[in-house]
Amino acid sequence: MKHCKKIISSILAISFVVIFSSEIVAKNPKYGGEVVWGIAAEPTSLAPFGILLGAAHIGKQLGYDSLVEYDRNSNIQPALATHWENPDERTWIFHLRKGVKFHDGSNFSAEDVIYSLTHMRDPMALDASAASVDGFMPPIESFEAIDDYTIKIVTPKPDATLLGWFAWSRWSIITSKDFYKKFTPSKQINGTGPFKLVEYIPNDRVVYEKNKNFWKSDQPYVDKITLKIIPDEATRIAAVRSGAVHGSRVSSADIIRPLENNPNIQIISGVTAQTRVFQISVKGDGKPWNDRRVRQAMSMAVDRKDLANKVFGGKATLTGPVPDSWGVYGLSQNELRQNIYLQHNPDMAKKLLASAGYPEGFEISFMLPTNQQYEAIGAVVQAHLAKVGIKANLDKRENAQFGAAYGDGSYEMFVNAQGFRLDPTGKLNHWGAPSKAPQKYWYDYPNGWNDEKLKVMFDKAVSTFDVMVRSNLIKEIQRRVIEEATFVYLVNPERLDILSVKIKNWYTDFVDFNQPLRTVWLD
Amino acid sequence: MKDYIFKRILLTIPTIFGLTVIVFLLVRLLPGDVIDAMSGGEVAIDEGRRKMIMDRLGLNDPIIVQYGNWLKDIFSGDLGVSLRNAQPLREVFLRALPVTLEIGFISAFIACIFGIPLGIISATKPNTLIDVFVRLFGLIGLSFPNFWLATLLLLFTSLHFNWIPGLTYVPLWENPIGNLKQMILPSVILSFQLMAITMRMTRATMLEELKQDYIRTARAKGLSMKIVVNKHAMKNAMIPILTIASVQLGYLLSGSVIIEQIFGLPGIGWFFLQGLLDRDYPVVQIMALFMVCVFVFVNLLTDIAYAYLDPRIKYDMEQ
Repeated sequence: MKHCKKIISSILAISFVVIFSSEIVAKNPKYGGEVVWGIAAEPTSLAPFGILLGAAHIGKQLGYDSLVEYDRNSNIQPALATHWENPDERTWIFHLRKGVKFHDGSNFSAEDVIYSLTHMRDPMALDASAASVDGFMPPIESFEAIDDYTIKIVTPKPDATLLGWFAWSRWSIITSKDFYKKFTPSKQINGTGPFKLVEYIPNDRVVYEKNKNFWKSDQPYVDKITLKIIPDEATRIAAVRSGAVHGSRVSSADIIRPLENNPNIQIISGVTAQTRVFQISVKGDGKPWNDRRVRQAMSMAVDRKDLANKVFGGKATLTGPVPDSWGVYGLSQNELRQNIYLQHNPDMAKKLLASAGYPEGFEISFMLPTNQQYEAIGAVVQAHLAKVGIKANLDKRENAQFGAAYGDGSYEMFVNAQGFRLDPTGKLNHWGAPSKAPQKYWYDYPNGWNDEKLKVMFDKAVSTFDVMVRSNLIKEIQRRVIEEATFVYLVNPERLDILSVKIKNWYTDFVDFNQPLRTVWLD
Repeated sequence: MKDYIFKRILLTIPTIFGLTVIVFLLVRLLPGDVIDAMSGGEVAIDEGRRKMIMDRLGLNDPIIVQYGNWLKDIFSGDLGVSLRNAQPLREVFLRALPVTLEIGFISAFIACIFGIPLGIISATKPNTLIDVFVRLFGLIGLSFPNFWLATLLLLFTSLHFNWIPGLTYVPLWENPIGNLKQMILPSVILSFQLMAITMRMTRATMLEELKQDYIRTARAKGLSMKIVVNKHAMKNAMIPILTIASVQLGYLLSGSVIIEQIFGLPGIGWFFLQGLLDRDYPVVQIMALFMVCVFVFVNLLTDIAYAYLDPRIKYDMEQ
């Protein structure tokens, strides 16, 4: 009964957010026109299920929906499910929207959700010809259609992250039954989203037209969207400046300084959840990382303000594992600033190293993805670490090499970005439910690291529905992770978009990717 | 002559066969595979699942079986499918081919029609102001990397004319004017280096030829400089020019890898690079094999052209 009350209070909290947020409606939208948006990477495949990292999501997010969705304020809103309930802590009942049509004209119903759930759990069962693997989906014990418009999902344990999974709609796509039999998944889309796929020409463009039967009857506003693939950032910026494309994402504030006074261009920035972080592996005798003082020294050696200025043009904020902009779950900037382990303190770092038995410091291999931004991070941080005696040898690796080293743990330390996850606890799962690789090279090794208290706190955070209780737990885990410096959190850079002034209703999507394209209009 | 050509064609068969082996093995020597490229340091994939995916993609088959399957795909004209998205490569290749060939041909054409005359002018008027300018131009063409020039020109045209070449590829047969508008800037940039090399080589060989006794004799007979250059010196000077230009023609393809990326043109070079980063072996293999074949056939054509231009080659073969 106590649990049910908590669930009810959570639902009420969410409902409040739903009601409050639905009040924020677009003002005076204009209809018609075509938006051309520059993207950096080839979508590779439009297949709805499986992990195809990066741009693949951009290719499909305009055409598909899930049961729920995030609004522009990162609150969960109804989508293909109009409402949901929890009769007990493990059971979710989703009531589906009626009258929704797929792009091919077929009607949406519970059997489509069952088909999609089956295959998002095991994408390889569907398409053996292309490499795809399962991802971040929370464990589900069973699911069934109660009737044509009601779905019941049972989780093995109480799991408050399930709703977040469905809201993270690029992973939890709902497609039509037998999609993989009737369509070519990598090149076709059959969803319920605001835009229908017209053509996908690899390494060139993806073209969509307005779905006139979209279930939000007043949307979308534009008639056509073209995603133009332009890998070179200088070309993308030139294309926006010349008007050849309406907008694009850029990597650094420094690159777009010359555009700041351009009357035809607007620059929109805001935080997402792309925290930059050092990760380390424990090998051999576990040294040096098995000593907490060494990890803390490394954290204190990094001058995060200098890093933000030199690499991100000042547009980056302090961060813990969960960015402060993630609802009530992140630690505030004020608290982060006062956290001694995130403060730049080379003298203390040297003392900690000396007390750990490294008065002269040590040498370490520092793996980076071959990418202009990460190489810049590497160079700046290398200089910071050198000041306390840590000699970090930069080891630049392109994507597949980086992925291989990550998988087999053959690295000592690396920097990368941790992107958005289904739930704030997804940003903490290294400490509670790690995937195999960190488990092998971090926890299980004889000289590895373990913190049972943290695991207990994590499990509780996953299974707690009460927002405020969860918030406190998640914050407590973060404080402990920062103090233990198990990973060293650097900064959370802002996302920067440059757009033609003709584009209206754009916002920085906290969930990242280009979700706002669904609701933009042209002035 | 026929025997010579026949023998040269026969020689290309083992060459291309050997290169298929090299291309096939080299791409597999790269660290990481398609699964690592997909996970990219964000998702760790456990061994059981990795094995299942590799089995399904045929990447756990013995290497000789994989090679045999690839050759079968090539001879059937099917070319296989992408590991990343299961797209048929025949379709991908045929769509990308015209883009790269067009840039290559336009670039080679621009390089020749400007490079050779400029080299001749420079050689016939040595140490004049025009010679200095042409040599300076050659030096600039050789020194400036084409990706830098491309970025600079895009910046310039977008800043001052609010214009950049069309970014969405339009096939030549659908809209010739639109296509040429799109292709001309990347082709000009790509041609710079070849133009400079052709110009310098023409100048050097022409200067050499113009010092020869037979030129002095021709001039002594009262022939005009124009006839001496065009009828006598040019033919002999063409052999080294042809050698350099043909080798460089192959390099146009490697240059197009970067240029296609900068201008957003969906050609062979871009697919090759994308395939390499994704460890999409069938994509890399087919694109690399195409580039290899271009090199081999350009060299074959050059050898045939030699025989036409230099009768001694024909004579040696007959001996």
